[in-house]
Amino acid sequence: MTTKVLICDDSKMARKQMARALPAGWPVDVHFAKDGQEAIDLIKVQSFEVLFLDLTMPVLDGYATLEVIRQEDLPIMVLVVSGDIQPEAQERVKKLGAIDFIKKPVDAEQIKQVLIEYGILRDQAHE
Amino acid sequence: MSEQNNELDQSHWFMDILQTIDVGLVVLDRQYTIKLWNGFMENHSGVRPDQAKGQCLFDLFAEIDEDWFKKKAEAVFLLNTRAFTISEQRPYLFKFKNNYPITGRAEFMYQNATMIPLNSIHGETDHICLIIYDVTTATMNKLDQEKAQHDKTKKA
Amino acid sequence: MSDLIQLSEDERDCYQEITNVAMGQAADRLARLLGVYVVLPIPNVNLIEINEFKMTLKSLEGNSTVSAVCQGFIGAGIAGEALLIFNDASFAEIAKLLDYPGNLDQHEELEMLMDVANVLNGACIQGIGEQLDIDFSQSHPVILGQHCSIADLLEPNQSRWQRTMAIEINYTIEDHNINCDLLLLFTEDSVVHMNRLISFLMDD
Repeated sequence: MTTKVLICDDSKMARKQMARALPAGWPVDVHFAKDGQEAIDLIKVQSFEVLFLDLTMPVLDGYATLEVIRQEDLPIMVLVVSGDIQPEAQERVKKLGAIDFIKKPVDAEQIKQVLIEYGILRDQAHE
Repeated sequence: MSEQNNELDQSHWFMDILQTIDVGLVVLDRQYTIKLWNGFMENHSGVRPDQAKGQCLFDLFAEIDEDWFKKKAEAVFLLNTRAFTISEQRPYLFKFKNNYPITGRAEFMYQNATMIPLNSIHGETDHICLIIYDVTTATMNKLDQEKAQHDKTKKA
Repeated sequence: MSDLIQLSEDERDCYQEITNVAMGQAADRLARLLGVYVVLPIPNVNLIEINEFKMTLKSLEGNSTVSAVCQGFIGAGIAGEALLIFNDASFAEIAKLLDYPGNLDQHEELEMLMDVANVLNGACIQGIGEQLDIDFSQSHPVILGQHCSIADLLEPNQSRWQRTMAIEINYTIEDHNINCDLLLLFTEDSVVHMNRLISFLMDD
């Protein structure tokens, strides 16, 4: 079954790097958003299972996006992907409902582990 | 085999260079015990490596402001980042004589210093290297310039 | 003189993202040093003309309320300077966080400026270097206006460049009145070189 994934980052390069770091062989349908507002608008019209969310963005930043998702009770799992590695930033996003924090530059192996840990990616059946 | 010899040669060269280079090199552990003391430090301080090694830096050199030094060094240990100090902050760390004892006008050697983190094989910063530069000539030039500027404005 | 350097939208985006990661590492260190939360801005990546830079310098010279230190960096054909501009109003707050005692004279302010510059410059420069696989050497910082007269820099025909890349990061600290600007300036030939390096990062 294909998983619908949304990658939200203001940087085109970061969006590309993130998409490239997704586990090989994971059947996904990847969409992109340039800021939090675009992501919210997309989530409202079609359902996504996973959102990879950057923090520092124009228009609507990652924190504000998490707030909207929580307030409106939008059904999506959020993984924050950010260069802001201050412990306080990680705590804040988890309080706001993000399930985990992935630091930039993204590492494919780490992403795979996180996805397996939260049961989003089943440990490869063909293994 | 020749490659091995080469490596041996190289490490020998490095030792010679460390010993001879005209900057001071001191390695300190977490307790500020001296672990390495190069030729520059020996020649300017008169303290031999066998006398320096194993001693606490602050016991040997009372002129170093311990609180000040630790404030800078702890940041290097904690954050694994380099720290620079310039002679405008403190003219010197070690009170050494001017390198030009005959023709020089400065009373002592002005110094800039760098502290760099040294990591163990486990990736912890458990030592730092202190690098001492002699900046006497540049500092004297600058002081002369400032004095000339000052005299000029005083006259005017 | 060679042609003026250009930045495509993708290149600018790439530098912005690289800076974003590097300044996150720098903020994390500053946060640990001061025990605070550092608010991360979106970095500005711009090509600046010599005249704009001179205007920035001029505003610094006439301004007794800011201090600035400057630090050179070089490695793998890339060279530049990091310029940290500090609002003097921030010193009182920084002093509290860094545990500097009582009355702040010029000397204490210099100490603090150096403490902050060591952390921010070092982490940013090394952070950018790591992503480009370069181990940068850093020179000793100098207080701006001391190693060179700003007036001399402003002389016409003195400059060796016309337009170059500047990355500007404005750090603020939450709940404290602390504000500083870090300006990373690269030489013209470095930008040509860096554009080649990042083309590998941008490859599909």
